[in-house]
Amino acid sequence: MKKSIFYYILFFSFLFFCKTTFSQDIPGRPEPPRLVNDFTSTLSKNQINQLEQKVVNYNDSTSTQICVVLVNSLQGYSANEYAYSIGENWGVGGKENNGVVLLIKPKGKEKGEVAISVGYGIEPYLTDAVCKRIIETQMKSHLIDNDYYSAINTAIDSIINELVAAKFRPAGSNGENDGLILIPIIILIVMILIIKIMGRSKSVTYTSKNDGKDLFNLWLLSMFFNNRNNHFGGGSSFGGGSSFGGFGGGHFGGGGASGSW
Amino acid sequence: MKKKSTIIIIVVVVVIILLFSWIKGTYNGLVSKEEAVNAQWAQVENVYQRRSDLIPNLVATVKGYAEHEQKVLTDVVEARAKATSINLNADNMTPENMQAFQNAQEQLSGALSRLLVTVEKYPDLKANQNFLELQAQLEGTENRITVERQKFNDTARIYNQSIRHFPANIFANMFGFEKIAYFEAQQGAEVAPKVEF
Repeated sequence: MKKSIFYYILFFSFLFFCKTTFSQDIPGRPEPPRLVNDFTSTLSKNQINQLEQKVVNYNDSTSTQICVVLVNSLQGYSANEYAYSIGENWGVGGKENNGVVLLIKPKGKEKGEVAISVGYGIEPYLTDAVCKRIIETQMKSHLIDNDYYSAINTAIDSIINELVAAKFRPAGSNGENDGLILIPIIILIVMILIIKIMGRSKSVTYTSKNDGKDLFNLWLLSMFFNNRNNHFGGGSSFGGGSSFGGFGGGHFGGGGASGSW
Repeated sequence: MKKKSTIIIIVVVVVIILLFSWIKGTYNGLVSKEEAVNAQWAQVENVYQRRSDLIPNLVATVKGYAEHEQKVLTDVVEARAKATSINLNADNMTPENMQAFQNAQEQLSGALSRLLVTVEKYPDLKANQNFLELQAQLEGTENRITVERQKFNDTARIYNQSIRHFPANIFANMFGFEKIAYFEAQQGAEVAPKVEF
């Protein structure tokens, strides 16, 4: 009897284990958000900070997010698929889908693998052939020497270089937000006018005047707060200064290239 | 007496307005979901188109080095012609049409992968810069096809679910919203032409 219970527990914990490992195929979005994520402790802290500084500065000036990820295993996926999934799931890049994922699986017992996956907005500038060239001609020699820092560093430089023509603007400079803020204000003014007119006319008979007003006010208030919440949740994910404010929800279409050594 | 009838009229009007806005909401919801499927289908066609645009260049490059591989080359050209001749849009996206589309594209995939295997015999070609870039583009395009197909299935699933859910299914029938077919992984479909070197 006891034994069977034991087996049950074993069985269910096995099921649970299967499920959790499956959902852990791709690492969760880093919290607090970072652009350089080394899950392998290949890079030194100093190197990570230098790279992070570089890509954060680039993000501040162009809203283009270059996300560097190092993992120990691709969990059976191809490097391209893995890099794409990270980009899409983390939402690398801003509104213009200007995100790049640079994925490296360092060489261990198996061969090392590297992939560059680009967001939709980047595709015209970092074509597959360009990505392949960056991997083959800029990164490979460093990777073979086990110099991961230089490989990543030169790759970032080349990517930035290729994107000069793209002229992406820094986040929040496109004036779209102003229009969005105006809408609730207009609605508010219209609502106030309506309430005033309703209050003056005698046709509101079902509830006493005051009750109706209170309800309207309450509703207005709640609407106002809702809008505020939406506003804070949506557009403000980019912090200024030198620290990275967060991923912007960019989308990926599978473009890019990969290589191995 | 008069008061009573006005109340009844108001109730009826309110009910009609509610009913109207509910139907309107459901209908418009279905329309925008169908539009999302259409938009995603356009993306799928884009990436397939991208692949077939690469082929003439690829064939020309390979021809320069491997002229006596006529059969493999004509296979690719013919499969491409066949694949581009099939056009689908949301109105005729039945399972049969989808199957035909998929079959044609898969034949092209097969022909392409045979071509790339043949190429292995020609080291000069494999070192050609133009060919390397074409290979990289082809590889990226196969990735894009996988991704866009996946996204298409996701949007189609959302749409198909919403036309089958009660009570929206009543209008879906009335207004002629039809189930959209999925891409199905066939044998070999997930084995995109391996472009390795």
